[in-house]
Amino acid sequence: MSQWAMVIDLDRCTGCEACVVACRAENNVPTRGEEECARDRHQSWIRVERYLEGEFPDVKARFMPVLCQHCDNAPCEPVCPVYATYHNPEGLNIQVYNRCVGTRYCANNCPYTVRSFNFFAPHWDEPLSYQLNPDVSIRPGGVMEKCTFCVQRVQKAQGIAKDEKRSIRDGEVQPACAQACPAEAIVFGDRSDPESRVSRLSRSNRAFKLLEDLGTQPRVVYLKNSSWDDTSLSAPKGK
Amino acid sequence: MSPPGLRIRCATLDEARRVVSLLLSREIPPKNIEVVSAEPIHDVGAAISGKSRLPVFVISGAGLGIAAGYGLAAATARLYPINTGGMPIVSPLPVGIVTYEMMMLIAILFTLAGMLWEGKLLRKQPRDKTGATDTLSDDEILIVVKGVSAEETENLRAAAGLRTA
Amino acid sequence: MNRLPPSNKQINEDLLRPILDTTWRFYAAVLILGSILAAAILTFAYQVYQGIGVTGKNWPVMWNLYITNFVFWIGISHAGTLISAILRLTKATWRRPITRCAEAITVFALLIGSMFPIVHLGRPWLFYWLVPYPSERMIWPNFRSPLMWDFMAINTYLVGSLTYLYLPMVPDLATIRDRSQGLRRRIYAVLSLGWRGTATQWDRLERAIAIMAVIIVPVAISVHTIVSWDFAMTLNPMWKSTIFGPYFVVGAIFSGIAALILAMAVLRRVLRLEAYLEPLHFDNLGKLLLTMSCLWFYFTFAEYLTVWYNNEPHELVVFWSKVSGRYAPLFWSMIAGCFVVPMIFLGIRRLRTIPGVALASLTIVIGMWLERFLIIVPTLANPRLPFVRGGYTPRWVEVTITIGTFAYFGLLYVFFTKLFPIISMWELKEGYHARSHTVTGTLPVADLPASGRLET
Repeated sequence: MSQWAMVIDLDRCTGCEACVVACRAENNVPTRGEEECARDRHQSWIRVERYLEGEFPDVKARFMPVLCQHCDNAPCEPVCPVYATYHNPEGLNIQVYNRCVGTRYCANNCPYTVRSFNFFAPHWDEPLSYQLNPDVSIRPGGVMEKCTFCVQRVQKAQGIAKDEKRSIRDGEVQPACAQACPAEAIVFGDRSDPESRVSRLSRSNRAFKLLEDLGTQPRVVYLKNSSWDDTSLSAPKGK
Repeated sequence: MSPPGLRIRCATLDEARRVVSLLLSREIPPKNIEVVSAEPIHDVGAAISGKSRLPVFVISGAGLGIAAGYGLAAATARLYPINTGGMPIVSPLPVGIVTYEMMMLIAILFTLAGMLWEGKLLRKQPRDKTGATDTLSDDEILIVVKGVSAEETENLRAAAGLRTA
Repeated sequence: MNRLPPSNKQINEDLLRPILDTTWRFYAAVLILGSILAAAILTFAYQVYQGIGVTGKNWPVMWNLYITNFVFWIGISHAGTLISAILRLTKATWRRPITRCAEAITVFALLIGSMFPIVHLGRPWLFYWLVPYPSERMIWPNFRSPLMWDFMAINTYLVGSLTYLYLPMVPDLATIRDRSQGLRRRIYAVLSLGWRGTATQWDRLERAIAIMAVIIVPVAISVHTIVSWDFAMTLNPMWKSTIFGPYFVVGAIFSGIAALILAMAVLRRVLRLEAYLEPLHFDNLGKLLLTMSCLWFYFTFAEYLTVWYNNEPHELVVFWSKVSGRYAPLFWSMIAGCFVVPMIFLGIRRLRTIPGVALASLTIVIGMWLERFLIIVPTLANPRLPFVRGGYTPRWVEVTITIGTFAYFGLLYVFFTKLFPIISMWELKEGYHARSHTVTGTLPVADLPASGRLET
């Protein structure tokens, strides 16, 4: 059984946010408009976090794409009172849209704050509604959603592989973000195969996981940008 | 037709206590004595009401609640095992919490049921033809003694020196 | 007590007057409170129709005023339990006029508090999925979730406090039945379950109440502990704290007693109960409130000290946002309302009068509401990954619904005092007579043989 995982190489990430756009297009993530975004209700399943250091003209930016980490010990899963989110045997953290009643407890318990909530029912003006992906359901208002590792693409590849009576090849399944990244910074695959790209890349000595000390056991491995010199950072003041 | 009971009205609690102790000393069984008052008179109540089985109700309710709570939390989890966050399917601590709450809930409901049962509430009360029994008077206490013959009634009346209703 | 206690007749008259006479003030209260409540209900309907986005909720602050209100009202509901049950168990004699008032607060606060999880849902019409019933989908709710523990605990406490309110009320309902005619008599006859007041019934009733008092205290403690675990079971900075269980229980009892004092002060004036709710009661409750204020401050200090001393960056962000940052005005108002003002008005004996105690209670209730808000919002606004930090401003929808629930509480209380005696009459009578006679447990020996023992 495949164990899906992802590696994001921060050396390659340019912060262009093509992954964000691709994810939005693939997964019918609603665009909320100016007023709603001003109320902090923008929705995206993946975001590129940008931290600026230094003063002009020596400003440096650090980019980090953050998406659902599909943690093995996901803190969001046990707190849902109606079992609307659970961990499937292939390691994906599944969100069941039609079971969600909207308590928003899972979003509060996610330390990465990757879950987004549909405060209103989504709406696309014509002709934008024609570009919706038919493989992905539209979530109604009041329902939680988040990155699914493009589970529709995983299922499609599994279907094709089953028809052709073979197993899924490495690199056959590419989520929208991995497909769109011009720098090929996002790699997706099966970590139970020790020779797959994700397995080999996650053995790198630049590898780290986000907020690893919390024990969530995320499935997204980040490869540190070798130009980040952490010893030169001044301590954050916490304001 | 059973002999008409003796009906005594007392004006104060002490008088009621005196009368009841007199009746008991004449060996009238406690279950034939009925004391109707607007407030509880503790020593009278202790003397003439029998042993209460309320604790049995409560304990059995608690036992049932424990079983129900365990079933609710553990059995339903086993019925449909879903992996959430790597936690065990039947986690002892949450199951303990649900069991505790169900135990308390069923114990409370059984206490209420026991109260209704033992107090003989929720029954169609036999309407006393004189109509006086059903009125809780403010300051008076009514003592009704059943199953006494007319002769004994006279003896009691003489001994107690009471006026009758 | 050097005054003669009122006679039973006087007690009945005074305490049944609000029920048997209706004045214009009743109708005015119902009208005003009812219209505020109607506004809140309409607002909720608007929210359900348009979507929960009409509130101020955002990403990442996904829980705000509704959960604040939820925790606040469940906290207020601990008033009845402490006063009624613990004072009954310790046989404190001054509790008698207060118990029913307190128990009523508990029931109404619970009703309102348990409504809020439904109001805050994204899809409230599906709230029944949290009820454990055998569905055709063969799926039960997730009992590992603290929200399900909330569900079980609050429902148990609701059933328990309804029982605990109703059982001692049965004899009083029978008294009203005996003084009414017609339809009112029939209604109260049903409500009083055919109570006659025999000695057996009194004995069983008192036993049942004693058993309930023993049961309801652990239930109440578990309820607010479980509500606090909604927060403590998460990984969020300044929520992931083991002190939350006891902290919240102390805070609940604290705010509950304050709400009780406020209710008593209002009732005393409006229903002219000056003879029954004496300055002694307010003085005693004021001293209890002072103790709880010190306890609350101790827990708060312990919580903030450990966070500050641990110097952990994620937690310090939340800490500073409360102490000197965006939420500082609310934080220091809370400290003033919950500790400074009570210290003055409850600690100085000359100021511990009924108005003084009522003022301290008012600031405490406001301060404790702020405390719930400050527990929830700053943590959610400052998650671990700094990029997504945000803030929260309430909008008219949740403010209207909040005010509406206070009006709802008032309305429920107005109806309760109209239909049921707010002071337990039989307990008052029992108390007055117990003072003038010592109950020895055995019957007086006037007509008995010299041995002094009962012959049964």
